[in-house]
Amino acid sequence: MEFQGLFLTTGELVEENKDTINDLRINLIIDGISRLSKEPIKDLLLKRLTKKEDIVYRQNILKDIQKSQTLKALNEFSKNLEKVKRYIELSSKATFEITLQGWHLEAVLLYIKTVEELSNSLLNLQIESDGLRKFKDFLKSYINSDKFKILKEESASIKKRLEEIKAIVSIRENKVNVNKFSSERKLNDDIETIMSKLSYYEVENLDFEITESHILSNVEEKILEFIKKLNPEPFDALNNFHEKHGDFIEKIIEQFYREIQFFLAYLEYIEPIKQTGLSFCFPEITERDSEIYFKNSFDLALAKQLSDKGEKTVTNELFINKGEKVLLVTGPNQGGKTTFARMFGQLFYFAALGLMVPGTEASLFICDQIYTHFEKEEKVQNKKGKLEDELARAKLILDKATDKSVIILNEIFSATALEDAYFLAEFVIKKVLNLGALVVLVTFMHKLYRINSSIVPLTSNVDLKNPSTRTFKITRRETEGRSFAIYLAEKYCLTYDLLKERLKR
Amino acid sequence: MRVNLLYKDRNFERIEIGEIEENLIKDLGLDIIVNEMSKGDELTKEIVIQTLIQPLKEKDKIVYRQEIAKDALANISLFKRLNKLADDVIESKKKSMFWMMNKKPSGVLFSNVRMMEVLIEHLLELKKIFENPGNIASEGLKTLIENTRKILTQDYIDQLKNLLKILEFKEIIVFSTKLGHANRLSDFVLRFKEEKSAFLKFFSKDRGHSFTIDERDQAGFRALSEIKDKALIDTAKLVHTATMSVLKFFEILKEETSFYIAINNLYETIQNKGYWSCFPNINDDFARRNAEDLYDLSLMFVTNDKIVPNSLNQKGELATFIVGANQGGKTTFLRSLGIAQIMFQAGLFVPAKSFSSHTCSGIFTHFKKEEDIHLESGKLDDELKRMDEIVKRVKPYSIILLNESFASTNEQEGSEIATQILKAFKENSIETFYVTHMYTLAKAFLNLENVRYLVVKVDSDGKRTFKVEPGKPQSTSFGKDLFYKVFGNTN
Repeated sequence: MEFQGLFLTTGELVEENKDTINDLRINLIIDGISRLSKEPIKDLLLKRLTKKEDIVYRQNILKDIQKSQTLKALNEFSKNLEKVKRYIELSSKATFEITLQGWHLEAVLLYIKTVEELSNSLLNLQIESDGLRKFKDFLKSYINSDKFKILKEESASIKKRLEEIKAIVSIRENKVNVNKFSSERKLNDDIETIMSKLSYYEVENLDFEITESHILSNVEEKILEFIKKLNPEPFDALNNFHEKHGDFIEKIIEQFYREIQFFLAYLEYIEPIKQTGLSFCFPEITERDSEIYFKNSFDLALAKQLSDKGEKTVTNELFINKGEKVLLVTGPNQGGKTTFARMFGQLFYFAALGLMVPGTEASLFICDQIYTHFEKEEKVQNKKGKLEDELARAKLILDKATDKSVIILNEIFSATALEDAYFLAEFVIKKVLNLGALVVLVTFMHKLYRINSSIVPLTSNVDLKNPSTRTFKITRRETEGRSFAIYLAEKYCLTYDLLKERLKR
Repeated sequence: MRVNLLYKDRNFERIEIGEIEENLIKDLGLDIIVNEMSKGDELTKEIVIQTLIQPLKEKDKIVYRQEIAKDALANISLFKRLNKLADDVIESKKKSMFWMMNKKPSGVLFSNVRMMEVLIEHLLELKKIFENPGNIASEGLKTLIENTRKILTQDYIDQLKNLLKILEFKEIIVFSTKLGHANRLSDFVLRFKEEKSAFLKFFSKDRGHSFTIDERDQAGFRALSEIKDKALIDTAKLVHTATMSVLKFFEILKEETSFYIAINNLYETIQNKGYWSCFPNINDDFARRNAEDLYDLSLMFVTNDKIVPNSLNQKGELATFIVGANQGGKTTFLRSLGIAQIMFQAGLFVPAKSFSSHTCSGIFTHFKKEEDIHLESGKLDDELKRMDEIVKRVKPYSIILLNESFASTNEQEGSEIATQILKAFKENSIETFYVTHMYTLAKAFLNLENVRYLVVKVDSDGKRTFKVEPGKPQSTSFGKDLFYKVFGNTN
């Protein structure tokens, strides 16, 4: 069977609503990834898959691509083909014939090199996915085709002949003479011998910023014309070549270049995050009623932000047993809880794009929709208006959600009196328990877990090992008390045991 | 041609002055000493500070500097002449500031040729100074003089002058070129004009093609000079490198002679004030130190009282606690030791009648911050943070001077933290001197090996002598005395 592309779509595509995308900061992540792509991919990132088969098809391709050798080869290919396209554009814009044909020749030469290099690298690599294997087969036959071979031989021979041309230019006031090179001696050899006796110190090398436009000056054009006159044959050959091979990029190569951007851009996006010591994994796609877990996972948007400064974000892990449906996140008011909630939603989202997700291990189901309800930032409304608005949004979610939905509720009803807030939250919890949806509820009302035994209480702890990152770990455990001074010393790794370990290196 | 008066085989380099270095300078009062040495000259101040915070670790490097320092003390006029010459060069560079305004290769080449013509005169002046250098014993200076003589021969100077003449390109400019990327002219290589005989010229069929740019075609002239510029790039770089290298030689000469002039300044001040100094001896064994009549040099500049010197005989003890009465001279002693170690490892003489020590791989201070106005908890946090920074940099065979560290929390907790830290240091061959009034801490080391206590001596009538002597820690400090002194008898 022939190469059909890198995307398989047997099931329907789903778009999350805008609130969800914004609340979970998925919009930031998507923008970041899109910026790294050489072709538009935003649409692909906004439509997630719903069938396991389609997800696995992409996962398999990504599994191949992310192997360092393959990734290197594909990045090189992508970078070079982009360049080929730029050369073609420069050629089409040029008005001076020698330049126009020169850019066209460079485009062909780079294209040949790019395709050959990709083919050679893929040849030696273990490719397991269906999509990539078929492309590899296509490439092999393309490279052996007469069409490709002729293009390669002709372009190489013309380039060689052009490179052999050497001219000597003499400038005397406003007079320029161009002639064939004979045997004039280099001036710089003498300079180097004499000056080197004084150059004992390393000095900053001078770099001239010669900003050259792609448009040639009339003087350079004239010199080139004279060089052409002195050497007519290679330029005739160049002219013929340009006429013969106008449009030379193969259609399937073009398609592959376009589609591979989705994967390359994502891998490029996560690379700096991995550099900070964090991991990504291929999540196992399971059914709704099985166990759900993730290890060493994190908020992708936050991790990206911190990685710009070379910092690492704190990771979290959670194992949700069968039957546990509501995660109640409480603790100090410092951002760790919201980050946890965002991470939770992102995991389900990116898993359904067929991509790797933050963490060392994960098992997730394909949800029908992710609903979020985050406290709105704007404070213009009065309290009553705000609560009414919140209730309306809550109702909307409760009406639409099913047992396959993921719902994330962050600090809702905080605009009202505590007594009301309890009442409303309790109502919502009972409702979602009935629905059977998977719910993350971030709240200051820690007593809510008493409502039902299937509610999992989680709290945030101060992280000792990373005092610089002011985030909290979310765990099921309780915090423990300690003497303040030793607690501080431990924070700086200055207790006897920790210090001994540090001094070992 | 290299100066190499600070290091035998490399240039002196500046490092970033971080918090650790800033603390070291302030805690030991090095800034006061350096101010006196540099007599207000900012460059000198910077060089001296930099040499102090980059301690030498090898014996031969210290000896190399000590020898040159001895030459400087004996023959300061040579150093001052060199310093003045270097100053003149830097002045001429400033005067011809126009010389780097033009960023084009042709402009750069032109101004570098001009600058080089000026530099030749200065090099000849240097040669003249070295014809009669006076008494010189150090390897560093001898090598510098010899190398200068070897390079700057009359023959070489003539060659250089000829070359500079050619580089003015007054008549014609010839270069070869090839077709590069997208048929752009590239690979410009400047060539000597080929001198064909008139006979050959006449018969040569191939005279190439010529064109003339119209006098009024401004764009054409601009394009022409752009092409010339491309042909001149490599040449301009070569000449620029040589010019800058010679300039750098003089800049370094200025810096490094300033250092030795500063040493001489300090030496003269110490003598004028009636104190003493010596060049130290270098021990191979770690934690062995002998000092006779060591005094706090920075204190010398701020007090008119006679400073009480102290002696030390250290025989391998890794942890030394300095305990005893408040305001009895503990900090002064700690500082005098730190200053001597720093000066020793910078190749200087030290403020003592005799001094011998090993070299430390790092010298650190962890002093209580007097001016700290944070809350108590913030203070402890700050102290731990500073210690954390030291630990990131510390290596075995380093020395850490601690002054009332971890006193910002209660004695119980402060001692617990300090004990844990000091034990880990000791077990990793890191030397510590710790001024403390925390009896709990001092007591914790009583029965351990390689530990010793220095106690501030108090006369039988309770008067402080400012002398430290080996002893044992006692549970009471003299804070009570001070309280009564300040508040009077409250009865």
